[in-house]
Amino acid sequence: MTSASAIGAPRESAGQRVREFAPGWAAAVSFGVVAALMAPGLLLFLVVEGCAFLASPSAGTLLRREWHPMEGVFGLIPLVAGTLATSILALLLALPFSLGTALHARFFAGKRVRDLLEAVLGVLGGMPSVVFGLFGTFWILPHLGPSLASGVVVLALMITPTLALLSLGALRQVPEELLLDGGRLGLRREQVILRLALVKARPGILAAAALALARALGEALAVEMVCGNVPNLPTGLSVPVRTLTTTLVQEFEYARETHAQGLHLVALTVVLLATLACGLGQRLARRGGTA
Amino acid sequence: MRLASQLASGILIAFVALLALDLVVRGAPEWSAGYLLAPVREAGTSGGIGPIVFSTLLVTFLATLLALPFALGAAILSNEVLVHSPRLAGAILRSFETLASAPSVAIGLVGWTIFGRHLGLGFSLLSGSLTLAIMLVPILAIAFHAGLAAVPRALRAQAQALGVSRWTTLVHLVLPAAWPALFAGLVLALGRATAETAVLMLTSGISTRMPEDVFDPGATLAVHVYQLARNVPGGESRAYAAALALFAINVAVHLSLARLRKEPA
Repeated sequence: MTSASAIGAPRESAGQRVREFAPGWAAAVSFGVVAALMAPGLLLFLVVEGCAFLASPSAGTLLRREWHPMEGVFGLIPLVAGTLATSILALLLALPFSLGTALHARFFAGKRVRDLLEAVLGVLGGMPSVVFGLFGTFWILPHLGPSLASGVVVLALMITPTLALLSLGALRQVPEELLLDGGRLGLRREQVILRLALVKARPGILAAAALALARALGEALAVEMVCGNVPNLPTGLSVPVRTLTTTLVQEFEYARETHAQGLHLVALTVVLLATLACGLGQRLARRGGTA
Repeated sequence: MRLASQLASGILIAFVALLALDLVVRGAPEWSAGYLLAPVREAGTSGGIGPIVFSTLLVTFLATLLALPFALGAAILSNEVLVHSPRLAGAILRSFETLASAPSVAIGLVGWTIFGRHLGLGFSLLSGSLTLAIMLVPILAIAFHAGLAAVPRALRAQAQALGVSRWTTLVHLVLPAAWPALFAGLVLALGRATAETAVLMLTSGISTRMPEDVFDPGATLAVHVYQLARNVPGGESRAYAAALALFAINVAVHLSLARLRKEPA
């Protein structure tokens, strides 16, 4: 590692000084520094606006169970609960399908089916979320109504490709030799998969789940199209709910002053939730990599 | 277990087939001649999607153009300049990973507040492009970084041993060697840009008129689909028609990415 980086930028001795194009480096570095400051800047902006809200008289209403911005009541609880309920339930719903697909592609399918599955997951993973929302509007809404359940199904469909592809990647990282050894020791194929492959790939699969959760937490419009958008506590599957993200979509345009600051606090909350999930995923993935 | 996993992937394939069939069956009949070029009429319930296509192309192009120097600068910074401080380079990469995983609607809200309200751009293509650029920078930077990192260090060392400056090495050897990876990153970013809805709904607006300059608002394809499905009575089949265009773009992006990744770099 140290020798590689030493090769990368050799110390210049007086005898072999090479003319460098300084403006080029300066431009690259300054653009790069600005780019690197974007994420902290975005976070800082949300924190400053959020703190302005905390200094306002409405800050005391944050822990109420109602969100009525027009009356100065900004209870985050129903929105956070709506976000967590839709995302976590969607993850639970998507997990068996994604894992099943990944296992099928890794262990049972022939090359053709495997290629087909990967292509399908790839296309589905890049699909704009409005297409899932549109599908949900016409195939799910008529059956489940504008409700938590509809939001969960649409989100589950949306995160399935992410979850399946990343799980497949984790299963691929399990050394073939280990699985062959299992077979040589007399384990049946199912036992090899359950006791060896899945156990060995577990950190990677958990990481995939965390990243899929981050995506679900942050999705706005696909959920907005089907979840009902009433800031209720998610007490049942048929209850119309509202999430942090859908609140932003619905209220950003007319929000002023305290309300606008409150929305930035909502945005900060969802960014923190997604970052937390994503960070957890990366930590798990790293642990998987070293195990 | 074999049966269960077969069932899971069968359901998945059935779902995708249903989705594609649904888009074609409901969307394709609306594609009259000149649909992609004709002006939008009656909020989208008749006419074509000409202005929408124009706004989509313009916003995507502008945002990518704006994001490129920042992303490339960041990749050069983390890969070529900070070779002796891997910690700092790692921190920069992590900041991009954080930004890339940030919910896009939050980026949209910040863009709306800064560009739309504080700078007075309102709903406009410029505000949309600037905000979308912020979303694209981390995607491009991560891809560019990986591309540069894949170029063997030895190439740089050999060039320098021959007395070639590090800048010349970068511009004439490293960047060309990394080009396939850089291009793949660009295609990926274009795919993400055309798929993005929340950022653009909050910044470039929902107008279906032909924008006259970058200070005019203009709905992109994904925003148009959302509006037709959600806020335009009788817009359902028209939403499917526009979604079919989005679907086609998505498949094209996926196919070209698959091809790019297969080609030996």
